[in-house]
Amino acid sequence: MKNNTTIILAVTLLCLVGCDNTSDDNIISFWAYQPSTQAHQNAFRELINDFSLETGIKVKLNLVVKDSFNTALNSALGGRAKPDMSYLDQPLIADYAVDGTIFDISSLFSSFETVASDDFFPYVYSTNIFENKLYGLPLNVTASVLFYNKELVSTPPTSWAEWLAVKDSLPSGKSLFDGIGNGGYAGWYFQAFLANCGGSLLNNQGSGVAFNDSHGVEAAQMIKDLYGSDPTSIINRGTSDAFGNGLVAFKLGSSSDIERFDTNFPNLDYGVALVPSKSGIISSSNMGGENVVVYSHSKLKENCGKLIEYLLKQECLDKLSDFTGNFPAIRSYAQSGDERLNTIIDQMETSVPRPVIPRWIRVNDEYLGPTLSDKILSDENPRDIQSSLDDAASAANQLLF
Amino acid sequence: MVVQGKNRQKKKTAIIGVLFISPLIIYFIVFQLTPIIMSFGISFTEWNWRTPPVFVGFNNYIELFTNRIIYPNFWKSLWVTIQYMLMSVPLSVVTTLIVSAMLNSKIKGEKFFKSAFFIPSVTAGVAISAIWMFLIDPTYGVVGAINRACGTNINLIGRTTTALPLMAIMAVWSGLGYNVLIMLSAMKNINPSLYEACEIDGGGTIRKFFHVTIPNVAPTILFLCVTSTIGSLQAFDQMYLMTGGGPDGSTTTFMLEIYNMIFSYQEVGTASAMSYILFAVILAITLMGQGFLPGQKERRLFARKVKNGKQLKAN
Repeated sequence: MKNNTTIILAVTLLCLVGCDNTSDDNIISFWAYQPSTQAHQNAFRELINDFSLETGIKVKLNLVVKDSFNTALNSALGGRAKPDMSYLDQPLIADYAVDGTIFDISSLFSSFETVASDDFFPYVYSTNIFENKLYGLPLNVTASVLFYNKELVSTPPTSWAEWLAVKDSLPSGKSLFDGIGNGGYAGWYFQAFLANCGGSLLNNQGSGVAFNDSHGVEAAQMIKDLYGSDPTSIINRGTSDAFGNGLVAFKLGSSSDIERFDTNFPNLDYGVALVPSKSGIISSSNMGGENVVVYSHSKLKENCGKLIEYLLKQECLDKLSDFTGNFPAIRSYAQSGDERLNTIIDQMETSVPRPVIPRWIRVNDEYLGPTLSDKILSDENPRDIQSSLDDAASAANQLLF
Repeated sequence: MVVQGKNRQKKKTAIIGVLFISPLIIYFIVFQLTPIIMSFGISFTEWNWRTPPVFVGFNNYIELFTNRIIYPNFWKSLWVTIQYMLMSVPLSVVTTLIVSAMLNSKIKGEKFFKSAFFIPSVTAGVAISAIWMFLIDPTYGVVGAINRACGTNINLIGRTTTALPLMAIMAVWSGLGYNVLIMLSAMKNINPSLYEACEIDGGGTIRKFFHVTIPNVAPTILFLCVTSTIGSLQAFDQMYLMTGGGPDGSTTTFMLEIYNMIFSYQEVGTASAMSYILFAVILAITLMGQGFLPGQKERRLFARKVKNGKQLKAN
């Protein structure tokens, strides 16, 4: 009986110790995306260890799988085990800033000796600015580019007119374009088309959406023309990995697609080019990437600032970029020996960010994206472009403003 | 003295019994009951997980029911879910009955067929979705082969008219083994003399099925109807994995919309309100189902008689 009581007490104590959530107040809790390979995970931990050795500041690195990162982060922020700093997806900056979850790091950034705002790719830095305050800094970035099948297209088009003209030279069973995706993806890629005909998602004052103006209609019409309405296009659109399987001539994609195609479709002969634009307009695209933010509740903001400055060093950014497959957000560090990757770096010079406005993700995923993929591009019941975009704009304005 | 000893023994037995079931009770209270009560409270708040919840009364419920611009998918997803239920439940029950009756008719290789039908039930939903994605691909797989051979342009998952029925067929296929096992055990329990009596009366296979088998497995049919209905109202994984709710929201089920609301848009209060609306629908259907249970009418009459008898005695 005595033995049993001892065992029960020991187990209870162990459980209590296991559940203890108190942490050392001097250790930075840093949440980041978990690299896909064990080697990269180890390299990330070494990177952070080096910082601790260099500065004496202790850091607890918590690597979380990217797909569940936002959910886990939100849960943690609602509980007791809150991080002091973390990665944060670009379009979430405004949502976290508006409710005071993340801290205005302007004062920390002004003391950085090695990095200035001009060092970053144009527009990338601005993804962290909300209501004229700086809520984070970019670490990695990527942009969408045009992937083309070299067996179907010898020279990539540079203008919309050239792009559409390729259709006439395609053999039977092949179609011109795929890859805009459904829902949120369609909304994201739409921005690339919009920018390439001179449009933008918000108006100049930032007081309303502008994707339903004449540029928006033109961009949506271009996507519709690229897809076409012939049965082959429709069938190829429904096929998984139509580009990888050589069924379509073009798709939009980014750095992660290069690795995917090289691995899964080693015989695919493809090239990468800048996204074609309307005549007279410089090629542009959309962008994505990871920013790093500091949380308002953190008592270690100064030390977090030092860690961010360390992460922005070239040797660190190069490694971080390797982990995600994206590029360093600092322009002079982004270099590659691969011609295809260099095209993406060139495209980033003119790529535009999503609006830094709370609840934009919902507008993108619930209104704009489905309007394009399910209404305008529907082969069963295609809706009028202008009225579909007007409906989406009306809903978006009601939600955002 | 003896009575006291018996009482003490009874108490001891009761305490030991409670101790044995206490882990389950603790689990139920901590991980099921508490979240259920908490989420009910959360449904009356506006909460994004990061900041403290703000009490908004019935606003979430009112907005969901009335604001079709901010919540464009609420009514649509409810309708999609009902359509899915109307397709999958009858199909599931009828298929289960047919397959079970065939297996119950002393067919050769009964064990093999039982195993074959049960395999999808123990296969991961992700694997099932991957297999079906390949089967229905309009260029590759079976549908692709039909398209190539016949010059057709069948794209089952890409059309609003076929995507949801396909999901229903998939659900029926993957749940068939489990349902057949339950139905088969009910059929095996039917007294063989009933079949003999039917045969003496000149009944053939079809008459035996409709006049002996069906009435005797009616409670099992009802059980399957209720569980399939609840399952179909909670349909999520196939849609999440295969269609993402498209095309044109034709496969956006209520559960998928709740998932989007909570994990994509962090509207925890709204998602909780939606969960309680779904809970109310499921509860209503379950209660309605219980009303159809065989013997319910007799049980109610008996209860009324007992009550009346007690009242007469009291008078």
